[in-house]
Amino acid sequence: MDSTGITVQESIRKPLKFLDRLNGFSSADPAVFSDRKKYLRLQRNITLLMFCSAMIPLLFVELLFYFQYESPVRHSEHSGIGVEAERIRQDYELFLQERLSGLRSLAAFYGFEQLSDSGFLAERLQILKEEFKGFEDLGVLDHRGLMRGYAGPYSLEDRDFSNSKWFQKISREQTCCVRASHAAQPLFILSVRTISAKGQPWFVRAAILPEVMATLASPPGLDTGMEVLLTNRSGILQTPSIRFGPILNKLPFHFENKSEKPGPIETVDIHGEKVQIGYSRFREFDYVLLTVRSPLEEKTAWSLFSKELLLILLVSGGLIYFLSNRLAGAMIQRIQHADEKKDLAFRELEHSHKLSSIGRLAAGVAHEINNPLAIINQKVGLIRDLIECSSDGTELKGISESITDITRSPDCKIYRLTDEIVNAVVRCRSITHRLLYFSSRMEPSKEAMDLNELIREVLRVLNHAFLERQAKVDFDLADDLPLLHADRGLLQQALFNIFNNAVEAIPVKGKILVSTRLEAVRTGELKQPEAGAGVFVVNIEDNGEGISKENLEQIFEPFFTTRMGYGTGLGLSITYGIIQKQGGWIQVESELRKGTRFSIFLPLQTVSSKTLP
Amino acid sequence: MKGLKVLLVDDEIEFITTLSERLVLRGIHAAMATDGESALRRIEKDPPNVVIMDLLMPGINGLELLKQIGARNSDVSVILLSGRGTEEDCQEGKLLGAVDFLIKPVDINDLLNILKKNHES
Repeated sequence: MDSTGITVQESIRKPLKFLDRLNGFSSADPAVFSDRKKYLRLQRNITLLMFCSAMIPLLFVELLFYFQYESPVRHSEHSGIGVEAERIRQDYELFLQERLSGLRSLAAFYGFEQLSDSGFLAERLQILKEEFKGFEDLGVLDHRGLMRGYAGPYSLEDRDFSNSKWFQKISREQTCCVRASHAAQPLFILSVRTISAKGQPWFVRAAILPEVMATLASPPGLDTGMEVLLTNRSGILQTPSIRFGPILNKLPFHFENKSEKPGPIETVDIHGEKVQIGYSRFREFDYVLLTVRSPLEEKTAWSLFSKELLLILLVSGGLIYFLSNRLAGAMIQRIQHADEKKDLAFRELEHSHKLSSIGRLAAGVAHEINNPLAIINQKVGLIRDLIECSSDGTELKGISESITDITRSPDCKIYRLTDEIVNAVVRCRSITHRLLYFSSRMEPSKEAMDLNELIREVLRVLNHAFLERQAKVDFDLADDLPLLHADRGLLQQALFNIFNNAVEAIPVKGKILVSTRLEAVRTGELKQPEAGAGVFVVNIEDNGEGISKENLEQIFEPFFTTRMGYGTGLGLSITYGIIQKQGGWIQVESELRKGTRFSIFLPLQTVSSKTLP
Repeated sequence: MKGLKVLLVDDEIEFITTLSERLVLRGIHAAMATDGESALRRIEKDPPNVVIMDLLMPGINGLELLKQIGARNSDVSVILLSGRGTEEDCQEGKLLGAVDFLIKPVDINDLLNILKKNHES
C-alpha cells in the first residue's frame, strides 16, 4: 500500500501532525495550528503599531522642520533679491554721491563768476572726467534758469531753461533723469544748489551718460536672470529694462511709501511673465533700486528643501516599515512557537490525564472481574479434576455412580464443556490483564534483542490467524541492524496489537508487508538525543479496508474501536503507550479501501554494560 | 510436594475453598483464612510452608500481612495472588519478601509449578 496521491496526503496530514504533537515533535507547519490567519493579523497589527510609533514622531519632526524653516527659507530667498538690491543701491548711491561732491567742491572753490566762464568750465569738465567716469557735460545756471556757463557736446550756453521741466526739478532735487530737448537720449542730470553772496541761488549741473549708469546695473557677481532697475519714487524707470520697457516708462505697480521693512513684490512684467521684485530705497535721493527675478528660479531652494523632507520621510518610512515587519515577523514566529509548545504540552497533559483516569477505572473493573473469574476458573478446574480422578478410577466421594459412568468416556460432553468454560475464562483473563496492563505505570526493563527476530516471534504467535485468512506476509528486513535495547515483553505486545489489527483488516488472501531499517535521526525527534543517534523504523503495511480520516484521529484513544462487539479498543492505545515509554513514536497513514501503514520509530540506544545480556 | 503445607488467605471464600479442594486432590495440605488476623493466628498455631494470599482484604491488607509474616516467620514463603495487582504492588510485594506475584485467574498448573520451584529451592 502506498498512499501517494495528493488527496491522500491531505487526508492523513492532520492525524499525523496530531500524533507528532502528541509525541512531542512539534511540526513547524503552522497550518496545523489552524489559526494561521490569527498570527498574520497579529503580525500586521504589531507591524502597524511599531510603524506608527516610529512614524508619528518622525512626522512631527518633519512637520516641525517644514513650518520652522518654511518662512526663513522663503524669506532668505526673497531677502536674497532684497539684499542684492541693497548692495547695488549702495553702489549707485556712492556713485552719485561722489559725483555730487565733485560738483559741490567745484561750486565751493570757484564761485559763480569764475564758473560762468565757459572756457574755465571746460577745463574743470576735463578734470572731472579724468577724476570720475560718466560726466557728459557741465553747466552753471543762475537763479532764473539761464545757462551762464556750459562745457559739453551741446550748445546750451546762454539758453534760458526757466520753463524747462528739468530746471524746475533740479531747483528742488539734486538729481533727476529727463528727456531733454537738446539731447537724443534721456540724460541723467546731477545738480548742486549754491547760494551766492547776494543771497541768490545758482546751480552747477552735470549730465551723466546713461551707458555709465547702466554699467552700474550689472555689477560683477550678479545672478544671471536677475535684472537691476532704477526708478524714482513715482515708479518712472530711470534705466532701461528688458522686463518693464524703456527708460522713463511707468512701472505697473506701486511701492508702499515709507515701509520700514519692504518685502518682495510679486507681479507681472510687460510680457505677462510672473516676476519677483526686491527693492531698496535710496537714502539721499528720490530713487528706488529694483532687482527683478522670475519666481521659478526663486522657489528652487524651498522646493528643494521640501523635496528633501519628503524624500527623508519616504525613505525612513520604507525602512521603518521593513524593519517593523521583519521584527514583528520574528516576534510572531516566537509567539507561535511558544503557543505550539503550550498547545502540545496541554494536549499531552490532557492525554495523560485521560489515560490515568481511564487506567484507574480499568484497574478497578479488572479487579472486580478477576475475582469471580478466579472462582469460575477454580470451580471448572475442580470439575475437571474430579472427572480426571474418576477416569483414573480414583474413589470419588459424593459423586453418584451414574455420573462417574458418563464421565469415564474420554470424549464425554462434560469434559468438553469444561474445556469451553476454561477457554472463555482464558479469553476473559486476557482482557482483564490487558486492562491491568493499561493501568500499570511500570518502568520498562531493557534487554538487547534482534528486532527482526522479535518480529518473527510475534508473527509465529499469530500464525494461525494468518493461515485462517490465507494472508501473505512479505518481509523487507534490514540485515545489518544493530541490537535493539528495549523491553521485550512490551514490544512483543505492541507489535502483536498492530499485526493483529492488520490481520483483521485484510481481506482473504490479503497482503502484509513488514520492513525494518535504521534511519539517521533528525534534530528534535528524540526526547533525549544521543550522539550519533539513529532510529529503528518498523513499517507494517496492509492492503486492508483502511481507516477513515475521522477514525484516524482517534485510533490511539483508549476504548476507541470500530469492531463493535468484540474489540476492547485498548490495543492501539496500549501500543502507543508502550512505544512512547521506549522513547519512540508511531505514525500512521491510511487510505480507505487501499490500506494502512503503521510506522514504529524506536531510538537506537547506546549499550550500557548493565543491560548487556 | 506431597505433604506441603499451604495456607490460603482470601476474603473470597468460594475461591479458597475450591482451590484448597484442588490442592488437596494433589496431595497438598491446604488450610484457609478469610482475613489477616485469622491468618496470623493460624500461622502462629501451625506454620505452613507457603502462604498464598490476596492483597485486598478486610482488616489487615495483603502487604501489611506480608510484612508481619516476614517479621515473625522468616521461613514461610508468601505468594501474592490478587485480582488487581498493579506493578507498584508487585514490586512492593517482592521487596517485602513475596516469592511471586500472580494475577487472578491463575491456572492451577502454573501455581503448582511455582510451589514446586519454591519447595525445591
